[in-house]
Amino acid sequence: MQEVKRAMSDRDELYAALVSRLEAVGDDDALGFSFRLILILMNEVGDDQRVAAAIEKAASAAIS
Amino acid sequence: MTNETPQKFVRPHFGYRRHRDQDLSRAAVHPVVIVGGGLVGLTLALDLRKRGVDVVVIEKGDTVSEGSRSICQAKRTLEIWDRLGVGDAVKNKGVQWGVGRVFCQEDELYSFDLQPEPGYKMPAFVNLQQYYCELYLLDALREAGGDVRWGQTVETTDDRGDHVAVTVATPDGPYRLEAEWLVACDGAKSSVRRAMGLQFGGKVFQDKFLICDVRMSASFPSERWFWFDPPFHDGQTALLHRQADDVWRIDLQLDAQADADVERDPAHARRRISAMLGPDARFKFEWISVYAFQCRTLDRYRHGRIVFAGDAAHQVSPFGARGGNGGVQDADNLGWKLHRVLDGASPAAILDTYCEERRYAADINIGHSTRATDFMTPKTRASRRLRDETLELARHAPFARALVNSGRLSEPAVYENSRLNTSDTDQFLGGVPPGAPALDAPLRDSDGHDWFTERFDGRFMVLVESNDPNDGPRLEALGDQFDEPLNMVVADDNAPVSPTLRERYDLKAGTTYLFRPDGHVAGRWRSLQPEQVSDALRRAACLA
Repeated sequence: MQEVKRAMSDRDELYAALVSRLEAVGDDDALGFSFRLILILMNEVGDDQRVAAAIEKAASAAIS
Repeated sequence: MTNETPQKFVRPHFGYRRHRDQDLSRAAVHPVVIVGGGLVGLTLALDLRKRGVDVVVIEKGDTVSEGSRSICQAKRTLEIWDRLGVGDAVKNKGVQWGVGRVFCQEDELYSFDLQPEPGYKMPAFVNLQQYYCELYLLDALREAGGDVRWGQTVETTDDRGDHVAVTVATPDGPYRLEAEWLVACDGAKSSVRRAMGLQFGGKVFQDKFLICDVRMSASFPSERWFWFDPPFHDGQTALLHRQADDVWRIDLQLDAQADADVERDPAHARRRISAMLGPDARFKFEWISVYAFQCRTLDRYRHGRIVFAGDAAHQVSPFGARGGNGGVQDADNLGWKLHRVLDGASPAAILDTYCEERRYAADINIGHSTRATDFMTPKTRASRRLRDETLELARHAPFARALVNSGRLSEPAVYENSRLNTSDTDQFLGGVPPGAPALDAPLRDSDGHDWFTERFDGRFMVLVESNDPNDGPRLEALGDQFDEPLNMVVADDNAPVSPTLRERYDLKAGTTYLFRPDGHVAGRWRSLQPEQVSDALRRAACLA
């Protein structure tokens, strides 16, 4: 899976926004928030192969 | 909202009758013995009888199926039955529908229309109890001289290379038959499959479902309604379908630990249905059953001279209406091939293409069925949470509605990689590609007086858009190149076809389609070249 650079210029800012939202929703709702985010990102990516590759990459990261 | 109606369908009992074959000193020989007289066995028997084949159906029961069972008869099934003479009866008796609605709790998430455009003889779906379909098939089979032997059970089958030796148990004791071919259409618990010790691999789900036929007069529209987590059945799913005679089909998901005997108890089931329909609803049960999902298939559907079809070959969960419809397509695929083999017109290898094509279709059906089951019955807390978030998102975000899976409804298989196809060499912008089943459309006019699919009569068929005076001799030449009569539909200035047909097939001057006897496209070209068509025909008949 190739690294995507495209329009992401400030990843630290995005990561901080993600952490901020996760902390705001609290641990109990973090899973629901994450799932909603995954679904929305799936739609934004809009490419079956890229999404499938991302799922595989996430799975292999979890294993290693 | 509902009022009770008293009528109840009473199944006719045909009873065991001694057959003259039982009095013979040696085994009677029949070209085809079909084990099982359900939807699939009867469809195949009727197809073969219409082709003049002597076929015997052995059925262990003495009546049609109990309960509504396979109720959603898809357009493709209706078209197949129409060719066999029972399509109109099923369409007219059943409840036509094309719209489905999916609810989450009390809110409608989305609706869909399976046939938004007109121009088809048959609707997207007709809901009709399986027992009615079987009765219509039986009537037609009786008229065609079919031989159904009720109350008889196939005990043993022995493939001896050039025939199958069959032992049939009856109340008068056993007798023997010899079949050139034996087709097992004896359902998910196939005794033929079990006796042969064949692996029926796949997935068996733990979740149980309560399934009820409820007779009542109600004002719900003729639509498929599906609920996730409905207010009347916490945390589970529910399905409501209208059938003929004011019978309603209700499926309620149960806990995996549910006790099937308790759930089948009418008093217990009444409490569940009353919670759904309201305390004042008046209804009577016609049938109550509990089932678990299974998605399984044989590895191969042909074992020497024994062939498997329908649930005996593959099994899916009922959501999506892929069981009965898939089985009828099995019969449609097998009938013409078996006839050709019996006639010596094609080698037995053509039956292997039945296995290849229908196994491909079964894998698609099982994939859909498994994914729908996984969506409806998540197995872990995390997968349930993902499912619930998808449903929640679907309330507001249209893209998420496409992820909501309450059963992807049956569509006919496209045998895109079949070795019977001749691949496109000319350019088509759409149309119907090789391997796909014929699309219906008005044939000559747009008033619905004649339909393209009505022209299929069980033979190979050629559709030609002809504007070249040389096409007449070319068509004659085509007929001369093949030993059997071809069914021809010619569109020309004197007899033009409808604009809808032209559009659906991307017809231009010279465009030629070759259809197999089951209506699937075998090949297509932009000009009528008899040799090309003849080659394709031989390939589709397994002669090339």
